[in-house]
Amino acid sequence: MFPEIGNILLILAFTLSSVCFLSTSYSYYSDTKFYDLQKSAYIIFFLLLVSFLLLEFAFLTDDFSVLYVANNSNPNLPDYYKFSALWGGHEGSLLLFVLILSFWMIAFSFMNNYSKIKDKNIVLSFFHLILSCLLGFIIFSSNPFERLLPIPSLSGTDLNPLLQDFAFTIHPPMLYLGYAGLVVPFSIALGRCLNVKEGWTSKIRNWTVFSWSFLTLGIALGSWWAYYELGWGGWWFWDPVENSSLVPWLLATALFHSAIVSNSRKIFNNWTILLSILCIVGCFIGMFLVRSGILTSVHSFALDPERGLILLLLTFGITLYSFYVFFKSDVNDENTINYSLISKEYFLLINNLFLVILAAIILFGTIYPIFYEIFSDGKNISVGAPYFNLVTVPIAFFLAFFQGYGVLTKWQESPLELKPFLIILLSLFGLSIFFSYLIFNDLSLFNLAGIIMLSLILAGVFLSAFRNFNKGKLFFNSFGMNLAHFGIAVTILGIGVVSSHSDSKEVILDIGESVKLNNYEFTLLEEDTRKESNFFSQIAHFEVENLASGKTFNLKPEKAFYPASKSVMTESAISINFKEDVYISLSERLDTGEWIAKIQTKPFIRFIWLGALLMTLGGVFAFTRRVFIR
Amino acid sequence: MSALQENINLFYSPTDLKNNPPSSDRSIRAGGLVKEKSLLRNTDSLEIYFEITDLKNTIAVTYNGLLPDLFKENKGVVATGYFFVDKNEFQAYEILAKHDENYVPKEVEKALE
Repeated sequence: MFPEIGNILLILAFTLSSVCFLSTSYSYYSDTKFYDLQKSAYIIFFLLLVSFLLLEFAFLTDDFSVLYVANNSNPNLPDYYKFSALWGGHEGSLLLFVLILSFWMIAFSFMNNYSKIKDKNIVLSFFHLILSCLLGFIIFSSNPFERLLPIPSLSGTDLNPLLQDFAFTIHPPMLYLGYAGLVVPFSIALGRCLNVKEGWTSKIRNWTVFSWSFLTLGIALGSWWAYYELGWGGWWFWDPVENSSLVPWLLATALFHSAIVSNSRKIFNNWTILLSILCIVGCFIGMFLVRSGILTSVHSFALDPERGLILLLLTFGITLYSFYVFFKSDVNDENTINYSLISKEYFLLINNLFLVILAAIILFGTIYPIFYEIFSDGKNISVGAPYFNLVTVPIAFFLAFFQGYGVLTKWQESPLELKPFLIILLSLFGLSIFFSYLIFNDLSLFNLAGIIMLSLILAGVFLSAFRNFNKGKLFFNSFGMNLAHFGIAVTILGIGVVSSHSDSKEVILDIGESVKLNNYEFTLLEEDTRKESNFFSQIAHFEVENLASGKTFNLKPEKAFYPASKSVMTESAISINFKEDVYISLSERLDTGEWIAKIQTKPFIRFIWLGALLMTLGGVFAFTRRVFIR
Repeated sequence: MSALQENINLFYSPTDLKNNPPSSDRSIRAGGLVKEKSLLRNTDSLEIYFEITDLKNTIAVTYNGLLPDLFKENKGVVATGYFFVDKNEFQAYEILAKHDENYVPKEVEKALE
């Protein structure tokens, strides 16, 4: 009964959303009266919310007559995970996505007033376009309320054990807040193509920064989750799924920088609109890659050619439609200015250029296997991580190079004041090298590149903050930006150090045996077992001694078995420390009673996610400052 | 572009490896099913030996490292490494982990056809 109601609500939301889009389009092209559609936005959000709650209800009450619940839950699953299991699969995660999208729609229409109903309707209609496409896709080929009748499953297959985890419960919602948030600038940009000019540049800038913050947090959570939950200590794999989130992130980063120029200088207007469209195209391509199963990935959804085809058509349809609106429009820069080589305009132009190139080559490497397969008569290839490292690091280096001095430049023309910048740059550089030797006695090329980037960015940030320090308002205006840039430097520090100074050893240990890695001695003390409601596991107790300080601590990695899905999970044990994580994961227990384990040290890895958190906070601060505090 | 050319790993089924072996200095991926009762382990190191089959041909694989959780006999596997024709042996440096035990990599599915 309840699932059917949920389904009907979805259909109602789909119908209402389509009507909103069509009626606005009709009114626009036939030049007739516009009806206020604000209320329908609230109604759609309400319908989707109830529909979402009904699916949650099915999960919490173990209604295995619903196919999606049967495939993703189990009676023994803790309630907390039953709740988050809703977004553990394809159908439910899409429902969460449209719910979040409708939330952004009402948040946007609530907070942004347009003086003309017509203008507001036009912008909202592009929300409805995306929303109705996705709702149609859910209803016709990915319905989470589909029944498993006449014979319902008795126990359900269980949620994938990897997803029974805290980071996973918040990672998809954050990511979707980011993706769906990018529909806001998309709608404003297309609205601008249809002559809705009211504050469009500042709206694009603010809302892109806001959704970018969530996207940053979502990606970082995914990386953190992969690090401890996949069991082997990697934090980024250049997997198609990860790349699909990185491409929109880079484009969104370019977008709000371009929107800053459009807003302050009334130039780059067409470029800002193009980027807003590309962000959404990037999101749709990502959705297609992840959800069609066309690429072999460590964490893709199940394969389904039909869904893939529909998503591909949707991607093409939305791309063509947006470009049609864009090319038919007649947007010009409202200002003609000449800017010199040392000006904020020029530096932001370079920033945009490199960010878009970076996004393009990552996308290229990600989809290259698809084209290769088509043009080589079905030969399969994969593109290795070395490709991505080789092409991204130099570009990131140039980005940092221009980012550092860029924050100090002024509009139009600014005098080249290299002296204070160079002084701070060189002292930061010297300090970093000194500390690098102090801590690691070593300096690799990769770490050196990281240190140079870090010094460049920080020199800009410190100098900018210092100059504005006494200027009150100005300081707070640039605080968000400086915090986010500082975050990037922190992340780069983490990446540089962990990539060059990580250490690992694969060992076979009997009870009582010890092994050394760097400054640590690992002793396998004993083994143990434990049983939970939905899994049981074998535990190995390790005592780890820090030989430098003489301190010891215990780590208890596990090997868990989940009977419902017959799957085995490696639960790593990590001693968390800013200077260095100590990481143990169990591989398998041999018939002789010995354990095969992997022990690792991961210096500075926390800085990668700390930096992302600072970027997020910086973005949220900048948004809040611009929108609420004037 | 050349960065891309040097870093692509072509996929081979055991039959492909027999009919059309690649040169031993190119990293490739090989996949199929782990042949039943083929897994051997060196007792005092992490060295492992097993065979990959596509039910028509079989190749020997050596690997020095940890096996992913879902590595099982009779299940799909994709290994990355180098193939040596003279020894008819595939030296893997990476064994692809698959999280979902019902999930068969699409290359493996194709190799079994």
